[in-house]
Amino acid sequence: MTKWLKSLSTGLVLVLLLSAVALAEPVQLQFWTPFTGPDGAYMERMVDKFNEEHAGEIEVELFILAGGADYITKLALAIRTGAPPGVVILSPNDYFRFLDSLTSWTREELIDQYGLDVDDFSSNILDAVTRDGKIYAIPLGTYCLGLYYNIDHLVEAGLEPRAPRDMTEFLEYARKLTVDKDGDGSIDQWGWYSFGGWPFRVLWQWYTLLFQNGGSLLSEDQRSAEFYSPEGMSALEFYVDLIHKEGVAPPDPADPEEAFRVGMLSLHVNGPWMINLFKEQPGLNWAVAPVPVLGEKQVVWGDAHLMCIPKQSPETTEAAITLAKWLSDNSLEWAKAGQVPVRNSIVESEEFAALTEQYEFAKQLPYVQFLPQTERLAEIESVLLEYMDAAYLGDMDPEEALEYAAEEVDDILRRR
Amino acid sequence: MVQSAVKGMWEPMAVKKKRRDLTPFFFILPFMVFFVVFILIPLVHGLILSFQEWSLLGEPIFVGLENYIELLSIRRFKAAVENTLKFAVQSVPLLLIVPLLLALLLNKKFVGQRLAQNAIISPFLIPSSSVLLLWIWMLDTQTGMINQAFKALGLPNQAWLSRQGSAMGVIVFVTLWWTAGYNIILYLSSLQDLPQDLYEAASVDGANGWDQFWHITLPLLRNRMLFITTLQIIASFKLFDQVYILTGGGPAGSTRTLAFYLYETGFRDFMFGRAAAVSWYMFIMIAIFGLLQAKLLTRWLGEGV
Repeated sequence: MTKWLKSLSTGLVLVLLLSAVALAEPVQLQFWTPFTGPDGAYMERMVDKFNEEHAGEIEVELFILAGGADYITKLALAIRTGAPPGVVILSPNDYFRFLDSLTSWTREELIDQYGLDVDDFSSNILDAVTRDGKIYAIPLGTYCLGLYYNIDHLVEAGLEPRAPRDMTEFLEYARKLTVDKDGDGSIDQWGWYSFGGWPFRVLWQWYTLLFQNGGSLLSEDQRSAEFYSPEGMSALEFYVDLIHKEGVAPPDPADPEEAFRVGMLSLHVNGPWMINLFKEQPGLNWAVAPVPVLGEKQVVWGDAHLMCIPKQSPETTEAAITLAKWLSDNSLEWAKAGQVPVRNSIVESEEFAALTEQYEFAKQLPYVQFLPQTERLAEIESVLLEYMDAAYLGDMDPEEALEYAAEEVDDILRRR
Repeated sequence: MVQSAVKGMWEPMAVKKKRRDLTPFFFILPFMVFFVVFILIPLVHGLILSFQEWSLLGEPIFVGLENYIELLSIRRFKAAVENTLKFAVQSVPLLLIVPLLLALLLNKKFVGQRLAQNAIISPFLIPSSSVLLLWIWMLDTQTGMINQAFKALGLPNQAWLSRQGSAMGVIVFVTLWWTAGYNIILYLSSLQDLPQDLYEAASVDGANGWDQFWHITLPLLRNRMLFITTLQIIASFKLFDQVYILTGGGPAGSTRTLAFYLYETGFRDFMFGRAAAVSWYMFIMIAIFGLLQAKLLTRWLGEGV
């Protein structure tokens, strides 16, 4: 009996000691991000700074994973097996899949309990993360298209060294910038590339013009396609005509990023993540401006990086929100990576205005339009790309392409 | 008393029955574990999954044959079947014959034989991602090495991977370049086992190189060719890497194969039940083609296989 008591009490003391040690350990957090580009290095620095400031309390491990289907699958598996990351970056197009597994708050909870200035967030992005009065994610930054232009090319062509602002100017620029420099009969400098390289840009340029024309991708109830419309058709026709009618874009797909970098292309639309890459290119004299109004109104396609916090233990959730708030409050640092913050106070600050290129992107914040949130988006985009490819290659005319695409999208939406 | 007497009577016979030797079992145990965990269980799970609807988050729902029936009316699935067959029809004969010719060549002694063997065979040892990334850079329409070379020779730029006509052809060619080595090794090992006295006797009888090839080499390679054809058919039905990296299913879906469609359905669209049904359709197709070709090829290459 005494022997039992002795070992029992030793055991108890040990357990108490160990748990005391465990309690003193900092909370471990996994932070999953898709920042595989140069912006990843910036995020690493920010996370290191956070860990320094919160030494002993919270320790964040940054994960940089390739985005796309695998990223979402990994997250789904992690949630299913009960080991989700503390904070995960998701796009508005993906995060709604996980709504049931994410922590949400009311506006008041965020302000009162966590001191997060919710009203400081740009309103259209806050709308994108609010459902039934609950906020499901803390936005980190947003991105949209901007028009990159080669200043040297513009000057050489006798154009004003600024971006075109509307359709007339755009066409004038594109025509003057498409040049056969060495007179060998083949064009060495193009005004535009309508397709090629990263396939999503092909969609994004079309979305922008579709939205500018006042059109929409899907019906309100998301049961049918709405892009087979005059707005959609004229948008696709515009880019197709640049190739086949105007001759200012090459008839075969080629990567505009590469081409712009080496001076073979004068104008192209892209996201803010290219800023640092182009800055590093020696001899490239470039600038960026808001996307011209090629349609009726000023709108631009956009997407965002949302910080989502999967449901987990209270202390991990607490730590996760601390991280999210810190990153948001410090998003000026993140802007230097070539991103656009969504905190109005930061966007309106002097320091941010000093980041000229990001500032140009941020000018578009008030009229960034996001895509409808639907589970079938990836499939729909794949169908659109397939038919648009055919239209760009001249195998189908734009109207036909959109008609077939709409038929298939209707079919997809009907089945699920 | 009676018991012990009876026991004594039976004991010698009990001793004759040796305890079953379990040693062989332990030798195959590691492989059996691997097989059950990574092949058998997923196989059965996949079959069950094909009768369910599951998006990874949430519980699977039983839907019976719905996935199988749905697929038959989905345009992309039918296109994927067509594209897979197109690829198989082009690549299987090529990967049967070209490696044979190369193996015959590499079997002869010449200066640089070793170097040629290594150079021609080794691509198959390089992992797909490295090989394909290399090719996609080389094939780029504006900045790729191949078109630069064409330009230098005065030939027009080709849009290798973005024209519906050439994209599949390019995939076939890259596959041939990459995987021929494996078949060449199989052929070389067979060729090197061929009895030389048959050839000596033949040349004494006045048979030339072609006759010797047609009447001696080929018949003796029958088994090997059957084996390679079977492997090749199975491999071509599973084409994925090249599509994923070189074309993403394009242009205009002309290179979307069944394996790629399966990947999209499961991992991009999160419809795992339907994806599982695709995989079982693939199994049925491979089984049918495999059996067909075994019967036909056996008959064509002669009896005694």
